[in-house]
Amino acid sequence: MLRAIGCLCILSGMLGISQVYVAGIRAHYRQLLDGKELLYRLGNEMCYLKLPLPQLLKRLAQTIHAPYSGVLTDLAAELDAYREADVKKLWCEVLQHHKKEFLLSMTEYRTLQEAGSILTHENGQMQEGAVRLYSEQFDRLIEQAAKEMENRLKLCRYLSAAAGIFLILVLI
Amino acid sequence: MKSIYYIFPVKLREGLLKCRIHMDCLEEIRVRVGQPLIFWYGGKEWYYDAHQMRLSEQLEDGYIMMEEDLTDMVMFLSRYSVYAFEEEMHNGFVTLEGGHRVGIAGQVRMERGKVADIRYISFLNIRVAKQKQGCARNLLPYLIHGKQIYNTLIVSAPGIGKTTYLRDCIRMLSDGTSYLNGLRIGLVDERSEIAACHLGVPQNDVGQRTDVLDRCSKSEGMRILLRAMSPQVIAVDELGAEEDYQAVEQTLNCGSRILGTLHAADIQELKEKKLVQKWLAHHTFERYVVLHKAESGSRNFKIYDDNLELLC
Repeated sequence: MLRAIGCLCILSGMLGISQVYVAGIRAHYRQLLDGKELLYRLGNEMCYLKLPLPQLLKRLAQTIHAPYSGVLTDLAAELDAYREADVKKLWCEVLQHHKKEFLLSMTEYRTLQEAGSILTHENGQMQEGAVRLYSEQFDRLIEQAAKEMENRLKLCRYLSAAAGIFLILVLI
Repeated sequence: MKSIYYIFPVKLREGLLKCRIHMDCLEEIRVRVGQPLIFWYGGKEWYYDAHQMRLSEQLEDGYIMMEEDLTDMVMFLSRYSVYAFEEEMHNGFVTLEGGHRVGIAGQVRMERGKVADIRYISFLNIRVAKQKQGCARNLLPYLIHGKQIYNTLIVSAPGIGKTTYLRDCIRMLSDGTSYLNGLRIGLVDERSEIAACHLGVPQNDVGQRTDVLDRCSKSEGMRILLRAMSPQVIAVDELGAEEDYQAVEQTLNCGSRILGTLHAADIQELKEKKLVQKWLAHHTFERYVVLHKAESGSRNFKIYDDNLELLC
């Protein structure tokens, strides 16, 4: 009876661990989608609403998911303080400050950093071009992440099950 | 003053704050690439001495503005949003919080006879906003007719202060006085000179019952205000174009009153203007206020009736 309970505990424990990993993989994918949404909305609102950047960032921060909301809020505060004239530099600094909250790979994170140049363009046409460019890059990253996600999810589930069985065999 | 300091490069800001410049005495700041930063302060030109962090009369002390300083300033004055201020920049100025105005000059790119872009912005003129509240106090009683006002045109040469007088009249009419209840004023501020709106909010006091249509052409603005805000008085600066005539007629037909300004050095020049001749023929305006600058610098006014007969 005790052995059966032990087995059950190990299996449910491993299942729990695998769920944590699965949630992490999904959150990573979600962050990529949110990143693309941010680029689109940022570009559109800059082109059509023509609000000054600090106001626009505060407005977007209210409707976008974390960690992007925090990044936008902090960037708006930096801009309000007029501490530095280079917006892209400020964008990179704020991203760096929030880096731990991002689940992105190095390549994805760099793309996000580079996408900050959208904020520096002086007219609508240049911005539209930049938004298109970085959106395409994000599309590729999302496509790649979607392909990998299924495999990673399967791998995560099989590994946790295998690890659970291995532990049961070793311990019992 | 904060809004002015913030458009300067970070490295200059601390020093400028230490200068303890009194806003009442500061008229304008001239910024030119490769030239010293010049302050028009207390009726004199001063150079900014970045080492001593003070204003100096000596040219050799003057801080020479670099190209990157101007680039930073354009970024700051547009609040990092040149795209949002494109239209203002095409018109050659940006209004800051507090109503201060930054004039812009550089290399202009024309497209079909219109300014498409100003690149290489190398010259800035920061004009400090000053409201002279109460300057039109003595004028106002002459404009009031029962519970309304006469259709009035304030006339003067450039730089005499007709816009300042107009703003003060708007403020007092809007807030009301001991002898007149406040009126609903519709203000068409084509060049953002009267209300000096920054992000849609008037930076100058134009009264509690004033609705502002900022950066809109006078003729179109008057029509919009009539339809949308039912103003008792429509205020406009610098009437004079042919299309303004139609809009003024339309305003009067709708029962609103007009309070406007017009460029003319004296009554003779006023009479020679074709548009004014039409208005005189139809007795459109009932009061013409002609402003003059006395030798002491104070402003005097003369008031004429609809036949240009001197009243006082």
